[in-house]
Amino acid sequence: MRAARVAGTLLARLTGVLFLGFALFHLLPGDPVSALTRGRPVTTEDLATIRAGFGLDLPLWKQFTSYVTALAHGDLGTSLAAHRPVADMLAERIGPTLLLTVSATVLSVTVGIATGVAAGWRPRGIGDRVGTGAAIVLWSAPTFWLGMLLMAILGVAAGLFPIAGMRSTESGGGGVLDVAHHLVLPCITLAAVQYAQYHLLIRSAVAAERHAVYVTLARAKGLPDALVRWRHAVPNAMAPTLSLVLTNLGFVVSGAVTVEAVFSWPGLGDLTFEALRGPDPPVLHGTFLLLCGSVVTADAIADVVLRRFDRRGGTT
Amino acid sequence: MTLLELDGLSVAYPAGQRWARAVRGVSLSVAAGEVVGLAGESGCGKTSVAMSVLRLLPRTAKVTGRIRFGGTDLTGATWGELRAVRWAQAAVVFQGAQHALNPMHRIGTQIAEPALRHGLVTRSAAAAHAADLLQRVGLAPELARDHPHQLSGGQRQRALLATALSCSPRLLIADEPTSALDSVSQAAILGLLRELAAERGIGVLLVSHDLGALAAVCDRIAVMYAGRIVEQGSAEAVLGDPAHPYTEALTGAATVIGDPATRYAPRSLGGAPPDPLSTAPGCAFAPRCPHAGPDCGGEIPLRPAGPGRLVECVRVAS
Amino acid sequence: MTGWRPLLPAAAAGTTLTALGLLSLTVPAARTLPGNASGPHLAPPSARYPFGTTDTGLSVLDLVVFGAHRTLIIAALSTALALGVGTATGVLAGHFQGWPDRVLSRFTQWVLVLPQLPLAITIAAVLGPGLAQLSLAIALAYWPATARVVRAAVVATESLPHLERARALGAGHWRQIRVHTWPAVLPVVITCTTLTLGNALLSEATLSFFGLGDTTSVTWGGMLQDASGIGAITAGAWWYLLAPGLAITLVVMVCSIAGRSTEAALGRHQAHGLLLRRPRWRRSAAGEPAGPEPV
Ligand SMILES: Nc1ncnc2c1ncn2[C@@H]1O[C@H](COP(=O)(O)OP(=O)(O)OP(=O)(O)O)[C@@H](O)[C@H]1O
Ligand code: SF4
Ligand SMILES: [Mg+2]
Repeated sequence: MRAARVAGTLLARLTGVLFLGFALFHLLPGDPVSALTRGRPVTTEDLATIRAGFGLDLPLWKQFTSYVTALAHGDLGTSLAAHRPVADMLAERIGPTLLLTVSATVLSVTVGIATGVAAGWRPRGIGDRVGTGAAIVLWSAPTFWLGMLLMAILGVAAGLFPIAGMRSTESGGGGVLDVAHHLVLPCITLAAVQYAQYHLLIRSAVAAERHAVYVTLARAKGLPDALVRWRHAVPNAMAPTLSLVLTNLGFVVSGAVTVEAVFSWPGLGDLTFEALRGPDPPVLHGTFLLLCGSVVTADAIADVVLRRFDRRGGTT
Repeated sequence: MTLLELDGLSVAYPAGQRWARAVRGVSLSVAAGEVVGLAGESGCGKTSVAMSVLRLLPRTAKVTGRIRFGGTDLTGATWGELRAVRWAQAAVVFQGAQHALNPMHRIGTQIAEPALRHGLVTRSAAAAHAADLLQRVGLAPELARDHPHQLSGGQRQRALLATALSCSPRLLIADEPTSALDSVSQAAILGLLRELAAERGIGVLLVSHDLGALAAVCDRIAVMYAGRIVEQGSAEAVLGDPAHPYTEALTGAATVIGDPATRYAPRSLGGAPPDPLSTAPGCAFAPRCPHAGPDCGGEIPLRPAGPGRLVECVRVAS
Repeated sequence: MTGWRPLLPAAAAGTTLTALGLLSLTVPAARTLPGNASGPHLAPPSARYPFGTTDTGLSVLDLVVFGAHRTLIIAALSTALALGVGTATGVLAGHFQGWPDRVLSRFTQWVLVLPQLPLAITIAAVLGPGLAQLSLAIALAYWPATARVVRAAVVATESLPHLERARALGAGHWRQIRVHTWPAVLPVVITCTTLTLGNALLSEATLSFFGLGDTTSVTWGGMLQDASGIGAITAGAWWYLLAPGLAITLVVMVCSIAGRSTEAALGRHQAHGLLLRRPRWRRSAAGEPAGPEPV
């Protein structure tokens, strides 16, 4: 029953993404293709190819049916720059994006829990002021600027980490350590941007938990402060945090797109960046559909997971 | 032997720029093997007294006066000393069982936790200990595996009592331990408290608004009004022959045993209790008292009125 | 609601923002962009050029001051658009309930789930370059947060007794909204304004970095893109990045602080989850604003 409802919502939302993709690239008053390519060196043949690729010369309903049919066959058109199927290009970019987002989320959640718990347990203490201050500054800085600063300081000036790409060699060799080395700066940047949310949320959740009756009971039981905090207050504060991790994917993906562009990390964000520079409208269309579609799907999965957790943990 | 001795205990909570004086100089003692009842309307400060014993009030609360437990002064105790007393010596059954159990942990874990942490049982014996305690309070041992939201209100209240007994304390402070129970279960729990006091010599401070419940188990009863104990003495004397006009009104009001409505509005009593922010001198009960006179606005003496009996009212002849 | 004290940071931040707005409006009138660059090219900070110079020999500090004008105009324009759409949607959904609410709320919820940046990037790309297009793209990605919070505030307000009385007495929709609902919802809208303003500034910078900015004038985001375009990082010219980035960070920070403190002053129940997305977890728990949120 529940599952059916979630599935229904998901289906409706995915259809929405489909329509939006169609509308943006087919329906807009004026010509999206000339808008996209304005001021860029494109020949008339190129324009004609793009138009034909999107089927812009056909009647609208025909455009839509062929759009849907093609998508159903996994056909997202052909890249203008690479002359390859867009679907193939997208597929090889998914891995790096997942690696970056997952590692950065783990890092920011870990640090966010550590500092958020300390800050929430003693609000207005020194730890709170430092941690929360840092969180607000990081929250306010543009992601790509933060990335460029890190790149300039740790990458260029100190020479500690590579500043671009995922591997040292073009051929794809280099091994796990090499990839990890390349991952450091993008991961820190993306984690820094997300960190603020986790810190602030855990802080306020823990601060609220301090006054929960069961926390007072834990103290009354004669447990040491650390045990009261980590066994009784924090697990309850984790529930909203888990929820944030799972429902925050749109924000994480937005950050990842930016970070990838800065560090040329070969994921979907970097591909978006290339598509804009190209200009390569079919690729841009492809990254748009994939990013929106996967975030919408992930949100539905998160919904199911959370409800399950909700029932077990009980909100009393 | 006196276990707990409160001497001039006052509790104030910050309220904006002022202080809400919830407890205003309470002196009370509980001996081993004795059940002492603390009665009074909602908001009169019963919970504040109960929670101040183990220093469980919020940091912002200002507590003055002396709290002595088994000869040591808890008001100046270090965190280490306090931790040694907490639960191992004195345990509390919290008011509001609905929120007192941790939603994330299993019932059995929560019951055995204090005994485990105070080194009274081993990790392998913890489950059996929890099962044992559950049975003692009349619950099925299988409940140990459940989470709090799977229990009924009454079951949670019993589980909380089982938690309090985990370390076999010398003093038990029970804040409304039967308010979520039907009258049969209520009688069973009160019987258990009585038994603990009689057979194990545990001192019990039983907080309740329900005079009928208190009458059934208490040796002594203290009646609180607006942060002060206005009358205390043996249960028969206080309830059978109330000396203070407030106690008189309460006993008249408490004819319906176990009816929570009596807690909010003693029926024979008009008006409402005073604002805890108030600093007006004289008897706090005066606005509602049928016997009030001009002499009630001054200092009210605490007068002995019989053996072990203290009453705070100008109308009472010593 | 513990008096005016919690509003202190908000007031300070509000004053700063207003001063900044006035400054940005007057600066271009008072001076024009130094067209012919006179300074050394890509020079590090010095007494004369406290934040260094650009590759064309302009003072970075001068550019930042000059660029405030266009940057803030874009931010203000997109904020106004996002707030207009968001508030209208929220009030309509919250006030009329029933099917308009279901449709609008589902739509809002859907856009809210979409990743904002890819959305804004794609919209900006197909709309083409320009101040209006850029602002519209930002607004279209950022209106749903406002809509949801405003809707919740409207529902909470309209369940109050005096409004039910007004309804019973036959006040028209427009009158109910104008006289009773709007004054209560206004503080929430103000909080949304500050937070959306911050988001808009960040988006302007990010979209500029992606080459989708307003290239007809100087903006802070555009400066950062120019800096990265000439390879300022690998050239070690960090100062070209420093001032514009700091300017953005500072203004966004002022916005966040203003938003957070108004939120705190309003009390959790009204504006909770503006800066942070409200966790779905506690959505239906006790203490939340009255009124069902269609899932
Ligand atoms: N944490 C607190 N902060 C501020 N005021 C408080 C706090 N706890 C209690 N009070 C106030 O102190 C007074 C006494 O409260 P207390 O909980 O001790 O009463 P009570 O007799 O236990 O009432 P009840 O029968 O409802 O449990 C009340 O006026 C209450 O509003
Ligand atoms: S002192 Fe006066 S007012 Fe107070 S209870 Fe006695 S008679 Fe009533
Ligand atoms: Mg109480």
